[in-house]
Amino acid sequence: MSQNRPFKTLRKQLIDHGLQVSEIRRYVDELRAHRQDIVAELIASGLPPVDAQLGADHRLGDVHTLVAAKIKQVRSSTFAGRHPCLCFSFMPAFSAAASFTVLTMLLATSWHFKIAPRWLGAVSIAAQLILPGVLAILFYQAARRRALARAWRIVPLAVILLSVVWFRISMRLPPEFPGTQATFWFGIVPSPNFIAMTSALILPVVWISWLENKHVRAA
Amino acid sequence: MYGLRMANTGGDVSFMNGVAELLVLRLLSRGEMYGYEIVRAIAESTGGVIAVGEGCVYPILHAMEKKRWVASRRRKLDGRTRIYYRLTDAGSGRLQVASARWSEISAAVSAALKATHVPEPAL
Repeated sequence: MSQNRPFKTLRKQLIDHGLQVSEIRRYVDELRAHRQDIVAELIASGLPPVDAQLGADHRLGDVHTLVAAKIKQVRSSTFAGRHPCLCFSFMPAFSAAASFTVLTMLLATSWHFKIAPRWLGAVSIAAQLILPGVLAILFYQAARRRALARAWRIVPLAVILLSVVWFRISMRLPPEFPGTQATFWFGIVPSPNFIAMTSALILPVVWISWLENKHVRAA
Repeated sequence: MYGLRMANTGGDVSFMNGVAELLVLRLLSRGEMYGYEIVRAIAESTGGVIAVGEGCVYPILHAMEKKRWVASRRRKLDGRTRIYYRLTDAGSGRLQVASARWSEISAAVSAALKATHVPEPAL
């Protein structure tokens, strides 16, 4: 790494993998200081400065090795990083279903007991439109921070979109509630809900574009 | 594990898993050090048999810091800022466990290599 360019390449590749800027800065600073130490050591041992620089680059490792080592460390340090299939394909579907179920139950229960304020209906509809997008963003960010492959950032969005478009959760409260149990229905709707899909897609797309642009500028 | 190899042997990576961690913990138990010092100390203390990929020592240290086995601090020395690592209490505990495990394994492997009688494989 005779000049700063390889460190820039290293920095850019780590940003592309989703590492946080502060973490990258620290890694690059440590590598740069380490390289200076190796150069000083080699010059002290009698090598000319140019050879010392080349020797330092060789000992430090190439960009590919340094990126791979850091990515491996970040991925293996968390459960989600070690088990992306579980956390970024099953969890989004489960969390979408669970959050909608909780939302529906809260709404229906508060309505039944006549404790629901007038604005709760509007808030509930808005939440149902915004919630999938927010969940997709949270999973995208989680996958990014764990330096997972790009596919794992997109899979949760696709899973949540499919859940929103093709599945519906409804709850019917019998009149004698709370004496009897409520009935749930969870299944595939015959016609996809394109309004829900559009609303679930807009928020993540806008947010992801903004975030990726921000990281490109940082690189 | 990236960054650890047996010098001039094309060392088996899976065999060496956990060794870098053990060596780093042992070195830091003597006092705080920065990355370059750690790499040099590993090479010296193992007679050059085990070498840590110099740039790859930092992900190992960062992972250990995340597990709270080591703690770090910035220190300015001779106009240069370095990050020094030191062992925590959790790290000392981990060092004891890892050392005991390594002693067990190395004793078992040595015994197996010294054994004169090799049992016939069961059919």
